[in-house]
Amino acid sequence: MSESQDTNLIDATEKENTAGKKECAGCQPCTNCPSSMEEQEADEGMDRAQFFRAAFACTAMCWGGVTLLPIFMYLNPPQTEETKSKVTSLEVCKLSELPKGTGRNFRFGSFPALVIHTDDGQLHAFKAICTHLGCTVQFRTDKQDIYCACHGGQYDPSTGKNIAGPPPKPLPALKAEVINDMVIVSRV
Amino acid sequence: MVSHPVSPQKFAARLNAFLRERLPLEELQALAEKKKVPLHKHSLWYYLGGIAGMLLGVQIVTGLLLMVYYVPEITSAHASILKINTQINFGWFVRSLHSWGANLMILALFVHLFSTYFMKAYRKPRELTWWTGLALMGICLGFGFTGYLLPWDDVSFFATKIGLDVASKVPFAGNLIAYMLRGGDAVSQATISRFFVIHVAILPILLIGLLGGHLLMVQVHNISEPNSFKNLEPAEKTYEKFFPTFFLKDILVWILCLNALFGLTMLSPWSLGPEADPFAPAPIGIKPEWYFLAPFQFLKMMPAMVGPIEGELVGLVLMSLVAVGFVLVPTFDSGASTARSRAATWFGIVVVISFAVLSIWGVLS
Repeated sequence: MSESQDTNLIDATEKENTAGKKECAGCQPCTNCPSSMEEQEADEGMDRAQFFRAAFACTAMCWGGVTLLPIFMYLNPPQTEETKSKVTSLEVCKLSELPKGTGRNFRFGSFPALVIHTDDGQLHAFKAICTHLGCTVQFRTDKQDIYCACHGGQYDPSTGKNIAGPPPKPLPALKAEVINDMVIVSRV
Repeated sequence: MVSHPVSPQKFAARLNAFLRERLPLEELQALAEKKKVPLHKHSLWYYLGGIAGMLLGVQIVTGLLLMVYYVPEITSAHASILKINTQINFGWFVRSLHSWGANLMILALFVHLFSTYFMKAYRKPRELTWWTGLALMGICLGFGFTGYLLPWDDVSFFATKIGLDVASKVPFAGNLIAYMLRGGDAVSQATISRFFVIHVAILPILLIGLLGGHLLMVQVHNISEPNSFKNLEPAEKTYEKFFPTFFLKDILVWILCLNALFGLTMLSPWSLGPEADPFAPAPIGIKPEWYFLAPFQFLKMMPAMVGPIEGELVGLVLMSLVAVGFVLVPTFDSGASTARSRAATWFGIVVVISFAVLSIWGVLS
């Protein structure tokens, strides 16, 4: 291996050779044993091989960095039109299409929403994303509550308050009103 | 946090010991060091395979990145490439790298193929290396052909149409092959889907398998020595170790080639034509990629009929004979006969010159 030292600066065996010299006491200077001058150099700081090894590693790391950054930026998704445009108000349906005691899921911009016509004739609208783990909730006509089918969370249909199951918070409310016999839902 | 901090050297030594106890690292190192590279005036050509391999790496990385945003659907394909080119950070760069890289890789492969051909590296015991290499060349041309359609611009649409029409001229199975590849009678959504699957799944699997075999053969037989070197006295022959000496030089050459690729990409980003319209006339001056230009020009100069046979078919048969010549050359020129060796060399020279002349003619016409 030693003859490859001059051609190959990143040879791991070279280090072993320099490290092993301490055991080789009292011999004449030869090609296998570094001279006392080299020994001195090695003690003081970095020798040529170490320098090149470090330079190689640093260059490789810089190169990796300038390669990985553009790849990260490439993979970073651009803002889509959908997330940029914000819906503030929406016609859901005619009031006659939403009789008392029923609810309706619909799309409100980028998220699902729910409008409920309760038995007392009031309209209530909420963001239909369960506050537990993000499933879409629905209005149950038989139980007259807002229900999440994923883990059984329940909310009050009038206030959106979490009343049973794992949800930690009430559903965020939207504003629901009737204008010209149309159900209009808008941000609060 | 750590009460006894471990120095990086100690950590490296421990990691080294850990791996050595669990993996056959000594054997692998011995295997890597076994391979030696002959030093002679033609040694330069030994870099070409490595260059092609490096460019393959670029193709894999950029290809994976493109797949993140590309949509293989007829109404979205062109728009998705347009989005990559205009809206995604470094998107134009990744796409141009993929296109330029593909062209440089084909170029490197052609030089690799002909340099090994003229150095007679196909002779026993390296026939399998030669044949796997030819198959890899075919696969890479397949990559070029299938990938060309995916952006779904006007040129890619007609290039695919022409290519598949040529394929349909193959006797007996031609029509079926073209029909299966096209996924019907016309280049359409079905063609995009099929070409996409071939480009990103089928060809990569074949390529990885064959390339593994190709490299294994090189490892088993060591690097081929041209006759001028083989006939030297043992004392006059000089070698260098493949690992690490030649490998480090390889890395240097790769960096130079990468810089050339980056330079081309930045100075001349790959363009994207208008979206394909299957009912619009072919654009004036439409030509295939440069590596298909020679066969394109050859078929163009064929007369409509040669005797009772269709000219196109005669051209195809002649070109197939060239391919067959390359496949059979190890059995024809085994090194025993000087006359055969010379014939093989002349065959290669004629093919290279015809390829060059036809390509240049194709560019100019």
